Amino acid sequence: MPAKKHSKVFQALCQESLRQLVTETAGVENACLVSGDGVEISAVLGENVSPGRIAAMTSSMHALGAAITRELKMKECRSVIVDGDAGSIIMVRLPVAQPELVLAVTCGHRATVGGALFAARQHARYISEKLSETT
Amino acid sequence: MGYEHIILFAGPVGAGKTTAISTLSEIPVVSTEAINTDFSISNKATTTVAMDYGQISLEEGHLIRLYGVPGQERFDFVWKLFQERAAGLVLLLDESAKEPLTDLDFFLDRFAGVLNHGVAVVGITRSELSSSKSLSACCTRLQQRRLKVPVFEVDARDREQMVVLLTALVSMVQMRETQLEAD
Amino acid sequence: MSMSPLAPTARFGIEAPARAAAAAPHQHALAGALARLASDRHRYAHVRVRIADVGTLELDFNEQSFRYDFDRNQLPRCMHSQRYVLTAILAHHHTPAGDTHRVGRLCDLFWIAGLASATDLPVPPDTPLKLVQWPNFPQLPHKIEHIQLCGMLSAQPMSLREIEEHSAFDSQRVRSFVHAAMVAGFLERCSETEALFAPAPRALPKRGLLSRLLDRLGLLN
Repeated sequence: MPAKKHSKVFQALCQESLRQLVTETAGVENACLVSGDGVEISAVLGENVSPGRIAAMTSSMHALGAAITRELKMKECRSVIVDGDAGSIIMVRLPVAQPELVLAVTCGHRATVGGALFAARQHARYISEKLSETT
Repeated sequence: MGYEHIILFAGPVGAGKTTAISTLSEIPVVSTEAINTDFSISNKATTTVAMDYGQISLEEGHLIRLYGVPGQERFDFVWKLFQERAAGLVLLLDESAKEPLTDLDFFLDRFAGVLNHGVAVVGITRSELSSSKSLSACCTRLQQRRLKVPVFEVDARDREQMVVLLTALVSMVQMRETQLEAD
Repeated sequence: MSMSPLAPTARFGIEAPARAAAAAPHQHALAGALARLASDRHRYAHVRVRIADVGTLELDFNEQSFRYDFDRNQLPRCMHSQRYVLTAILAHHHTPAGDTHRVGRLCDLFWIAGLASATDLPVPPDTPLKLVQWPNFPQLPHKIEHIQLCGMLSAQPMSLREIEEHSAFDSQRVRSFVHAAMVAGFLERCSETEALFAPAPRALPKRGLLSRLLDRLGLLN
């Protein structure tokens, strides 16, 4: 259950955006919007995928990406991509969101990483804009 | 060729794990802090979401690596990552928490992997606010669980106190390693 | 309020100068009196200690705690005081100390007393000793070797002779630690059965992880 209370309007917009992302982007199977501290905000997930664990793991991965980016003085971490044998997990930081929000997307072989990354960034930008409008 | 010794810092949110590693580490701590949005667990402004990393370099290439893990249960996958490799566990408890003994039992259970092959100390933080009740209660509970684990009251910001805690832990790590070599 | 005084052997200070003159100087100090009280702890429920120019200690043997009305930093110093009065309080005459008093564990007080009192080891050198509890070192006066010795004893019970043989420390330092730890109850005699099943004692490595760490931290003697 989300800890921070985002407005119902915002949550509905997120849910719709994630649903579009999953249904309209070839190969994208799951999408989850999480807070920087690992709490699920909104999700469109297949069966047997635990939103709580995905949320926590996404925030950890993103935080490690941010740490290594800082260490190497490469400014901000925009996304982290995990390349698995059976697909990829793409985690994109929402631009301009405070506190931080991260969009995680999983895709199988039908997707290209580039295509899924592009779609994830588009939706991340959209959700960011809606967040500004609804708060 | 030196040796690595991994010390894990665990405990509930707000107990002082990140602070403790900052106090001990000789390098700037690599941290993974995020803004806290879950106020049901803690009022803290930020919280660790992956790990904290610090280290102490010793001569001849020996290295003590200090890893701090998040306190929330949703990050328990991180807890599992380090247990097999950790030589010692620092379990920090917050004296001002509602039920420090429940926290003690919970984390001893979840970090049994370290206790099986390594050693541990318990550090009770924020004890200046009370009268050592948790110290006695923790000692009793550890005796009931037949665990030989020292319990100390520490201020995680105080380098002298944290050095004492680390020295105690390392003295036990050394004895354990000496025993394992002999077996 | 009438109070039952302690037996004369335990009552020093202004009222027993003749007896005080007969013993070695540090025997008169509060530390020695507390150390003897600790070895006889089952006799008392409550003991009050008034220390001239410092304040009052109230020892509660039932609760295993003590209360005091002065700054904690003064505890080690007041152990050397020779101007104090110890009084045992009967249970039905005992009035609990006020809430403004500081509270501590009795074992901690006895550790401080043990460190400051003459080393007196009634235990035979070959009797195995086990570490029941570590002293709360970050909050108590201590030396680095105390931590190292506890580390050794955490692995198995050891006799005084074995501790001296396997540690790098001279007899005086080992005995001082053992005395303080036994006065406080952190170290106890071990049963022969327990000792039988314990692993064989291991020596402290000369240049192990701990000495490297202490060296790095600038704590090696």
